[in-house]
Amino acid sequence: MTRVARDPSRPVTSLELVCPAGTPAALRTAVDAGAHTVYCGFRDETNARNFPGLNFNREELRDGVAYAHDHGADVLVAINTFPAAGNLDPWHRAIDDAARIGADAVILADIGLIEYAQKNAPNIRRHLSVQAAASTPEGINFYAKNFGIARVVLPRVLTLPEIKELNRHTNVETEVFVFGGLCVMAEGRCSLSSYVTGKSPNKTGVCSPASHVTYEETGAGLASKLGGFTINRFAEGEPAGYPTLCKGRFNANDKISYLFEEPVSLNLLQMLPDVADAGVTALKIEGRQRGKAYVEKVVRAFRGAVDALEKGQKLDAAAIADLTEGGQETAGAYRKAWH
Amino acid sequence: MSTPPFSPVLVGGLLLRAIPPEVIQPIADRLAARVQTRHPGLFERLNPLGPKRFVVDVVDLPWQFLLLIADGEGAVEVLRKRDHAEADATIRAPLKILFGLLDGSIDGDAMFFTRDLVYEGDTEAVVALRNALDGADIDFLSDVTTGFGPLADPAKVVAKKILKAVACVEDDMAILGESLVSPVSRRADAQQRRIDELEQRCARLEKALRRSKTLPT
Repeated sequence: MTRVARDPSRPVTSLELVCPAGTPAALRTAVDAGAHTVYCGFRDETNARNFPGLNFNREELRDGVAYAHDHGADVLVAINTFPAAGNLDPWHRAIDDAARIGADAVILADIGLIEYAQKNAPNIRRHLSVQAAASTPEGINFYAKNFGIARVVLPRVLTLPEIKELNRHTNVETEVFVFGGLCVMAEGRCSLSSYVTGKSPNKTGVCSPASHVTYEETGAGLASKLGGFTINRFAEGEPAGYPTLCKGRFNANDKISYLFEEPVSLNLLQMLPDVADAGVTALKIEGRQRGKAYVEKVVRAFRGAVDALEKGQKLDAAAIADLTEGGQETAGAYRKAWH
Repeated sequence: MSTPPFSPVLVGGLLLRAIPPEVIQPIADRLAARVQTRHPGLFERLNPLGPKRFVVDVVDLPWQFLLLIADGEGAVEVLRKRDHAEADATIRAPLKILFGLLDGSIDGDAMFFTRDLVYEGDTEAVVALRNALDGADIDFLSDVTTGFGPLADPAKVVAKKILKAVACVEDDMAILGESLVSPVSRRADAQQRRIDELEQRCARLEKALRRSKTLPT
């Protein structure tokens, strides 16, 4: 199970850049822009970005893996939703096929699927998805001891000092999100989308599915709706956003505000030295639902930053400033300013 | 984005208004067939949606395009602006942005969030179309110039030079546009600053009023 970097020029101590690919074209774009590793999913409910027109069929994944390996990059396959009781076949097939095709790891959340992968596809690395919400050394070590988990993707609820402390108590590789959309909830435990649309990221792989989204021009501006409920309204000239419930603007106590979370993007580019110091193995960029132009720009900027960090050079944050959601960015819980 | 940007395409579009859709239709048919041949995965990705009709309104051209997708195939109908077409979704944007979306050089989400691109209708269909186009690796210039056969490469070089020239004219027109509106912009900026000051003053007064009401008597 020891991971061997395919690119021999990459020092084993360097931070691994894990980049999103919603389509084969985005995979090639990410690899060409400098991704060490690309993560993607099959075109069904087995992954948490089950959006229309997105993802890979088996043949596309085979070609994508070949392209990535030819260029020294790895491919991880996200199979990170929770199967419904009695309907395990799509998830089992996904694990079997990812292993058969030669992907470098599967990213799993459900404990039953992790056991299935361990027994039926023991040669493919098992990564614990952020959807599993494992955030303590005890929990992570349990997965490692019993199911041979090689890496954990940490939920975005920990501070950097907490991550550093966590890394002192586990040998499991840790991967942290460094850029992209944020979930205000503990990952894998949010049902807001399910309440309103009947579909959730946990089971069907979609948060606020596009099939339930409408935009309407009203006299008071552009209204964004989810499942018929108005989630936000944007004045003329104001940047619009996607209507996820957690990023809605609501009227409470006669005050209209973003009650749960403002539409901002996570951006840890300037904090990469601290992230490296915390002992993490890999940096994850969110955004499999985003286009090639976004992937190219973000991956190139972060690869430049990782390389600059290794050389002790200054990091350039300006390169991706215009790609943050709503034009705003945050360090989230990594630099927690609340208690 | 109902007002088209001040651009060479807009000026060119005004000059092309006399050309009826029937003249453009054969060119659109050939291009659609070429995209179908060179990028079969594009329509295969859209199959789960079933038959869909998209109106693509190029705001700086005198025509709109009805994109019909069904059974893994696509076709395009060229329409006048005033023609009504039943559609699942309507997408409106300037030509430059639509080309950028076709070849994946522009982030569609960013264009939508800034409202440089707007749509109405079936969100799922629009998202699927965006994702399918982005994943298709379309090089529109190559698709167009391939029709020139052995002259495809020289045609591509010429087309690139034309696009470069258009970009230069666009920059000049942007400077011209800024120059024309700068007196109005300065006045609007001054008014905005004044509004900001008044809003802050109102907020302070409201806060003081709330405090005075909650003070013990």
